[in-house]
Amino acid sequence: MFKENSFYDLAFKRYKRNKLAIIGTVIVFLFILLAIFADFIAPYGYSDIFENAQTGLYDKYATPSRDHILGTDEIGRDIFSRLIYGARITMMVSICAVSISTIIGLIVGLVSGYFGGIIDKILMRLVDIVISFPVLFLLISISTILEPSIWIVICAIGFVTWTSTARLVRGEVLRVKQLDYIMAAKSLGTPTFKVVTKHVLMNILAPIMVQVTIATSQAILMEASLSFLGVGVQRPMPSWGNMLIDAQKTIVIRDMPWVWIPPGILTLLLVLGIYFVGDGLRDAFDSKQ
Amino acid sequence: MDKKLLFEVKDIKKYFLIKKAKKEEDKVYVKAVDGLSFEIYEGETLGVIGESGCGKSTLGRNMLRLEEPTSGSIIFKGRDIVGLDKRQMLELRKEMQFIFQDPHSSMNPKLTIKDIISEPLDNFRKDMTNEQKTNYIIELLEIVGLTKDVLNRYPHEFSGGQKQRIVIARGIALNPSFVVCDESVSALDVSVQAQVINLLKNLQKKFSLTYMFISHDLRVIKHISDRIMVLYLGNIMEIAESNELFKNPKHPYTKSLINLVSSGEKVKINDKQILKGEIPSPLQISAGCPFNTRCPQAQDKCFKEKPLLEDLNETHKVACFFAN
Repeated sequence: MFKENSFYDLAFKRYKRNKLAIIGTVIVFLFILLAIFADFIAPYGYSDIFENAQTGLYDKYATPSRDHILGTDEIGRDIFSRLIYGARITMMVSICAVSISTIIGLIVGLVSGYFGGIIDKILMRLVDIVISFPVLFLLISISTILEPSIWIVICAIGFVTWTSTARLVRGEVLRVKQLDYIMAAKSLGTPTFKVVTKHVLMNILAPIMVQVTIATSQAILMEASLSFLGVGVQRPMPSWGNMLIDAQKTIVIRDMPWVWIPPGILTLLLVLGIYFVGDGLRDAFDSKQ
Repeated sequence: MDKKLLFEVKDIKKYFLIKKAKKEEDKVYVKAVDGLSFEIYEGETLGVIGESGCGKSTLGRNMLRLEEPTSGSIIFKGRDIVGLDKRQMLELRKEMQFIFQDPHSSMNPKLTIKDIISEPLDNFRKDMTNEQKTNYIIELLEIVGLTKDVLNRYPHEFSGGQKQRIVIARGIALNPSFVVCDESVSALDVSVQAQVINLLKNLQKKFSLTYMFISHDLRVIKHISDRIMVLYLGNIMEIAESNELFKNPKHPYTKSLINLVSSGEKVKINDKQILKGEIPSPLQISAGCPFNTRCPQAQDKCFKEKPLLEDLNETHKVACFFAN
């Protein structure tokens, strides 16, 4: 898979020996399959749980049965099918949001760390400003002003969470840029752009990959909490977060565990799996072990 | 022998600002390199020796403008390189190379040996095809005593001596005329040191290279240099031909260094206790001769006035009032 004895080859070998990491990988992989093949796995189609349900053809809050493995929700939609489609939405939101935050964080961190000086100062103050933004209030106000949509959630999470990536990248760049091979590259006549994109980036990729996994699990949790509060993914589109909205009612919490336990457990499993992968990556990249 | 001038360094200074202040007189600088002037001739090896912190590595980096000198001029083949802009400097890079102390950290650990040696070729030899590059890299590896089966391996798979050979192969890939070796053998075992030094000497003959060889190890310097420059706290103490310097050292600092080596002790001058007293902090350099705090012959004059580098004869210069 990798060139023999290369950094990634050795890291991959260490990763394979890590049991938790393998468990995490399997969990994440299964969820990805679930999201991709939702149409084949879910017993009820997308249109069923989206539209027909609202006509009241099904029982409200039906207990789990042969027809509905995990019962139905407040307007009679099949919870099992909604969970599977929810995996798709949840993953799409987190992956898109993390892509945005990683790209911004990477650019800001690279520029800030490599060039330093006044640019660094301005960018780091910008990071401070973004960190001190009250995210929840921001989102609630945005979704009151604008028509709430999945894209707003994605952008909101992405534009709020890039700061930790930027700080990490900046720190790593500061560490790498004073190493001899950077000066060696300069003395070999390598232009600055290539020094940054080739030597610097290549050598900070490992911690960035770890950061991406952590950021993904955080994005999933963020999406869940936003949706739970009703400012995230909007119903009837299913996401694990907005499936938990029903759990705000006491009667549901007390008497209808099939409504809120499954989305909760799935969220927990996926986040845990991603954390295992992240931990495994961190250990695998640390060649001192 | 008629010597051709390659480098002419005039009053080069490198100050590092330690304490910022609004008024110029409140600012605190470390004068790492404090006004050096010297020449380097084509085909020779100029040894630069001094204790750690005397500015020898800073000088090396400034010579190639890997750092920007604070002031002064560096005339390379009749052209002052201090004023050159980035693009012009990039063009000159192929003429001058730098070999670092630690061969391991001077190679990108994620790249194969082939990619590492190929980097200067990718930058300057756009005319070469990949196949030509590979053949040329194999040729270079053979010159430095390695074989082509190292091509697809990674730096961490090699020993220190082998790594330094790889770095040297990369350094000579563009046929430079001038190479700065900054403590290039200090990180190696003594037995390997000799091999690498001999390799450098052979390469010098083969490609008519000019070296500036920076080291704190007087024995290494003696072995490789044609001329030797003794630095102390960013100032030249003495500069002379190698034999002359060892036979007839004039500066008290040089004398104490040479005494050490000839007394048979295998002590490197990095160990501070071998000279009387300690090297003063570069922040608190007193007026007068920089060596005055440790000099056995220091007199009143040495604390008031800074001795200039004066010619004893054509090739021997010394900065001491009492050299004669």
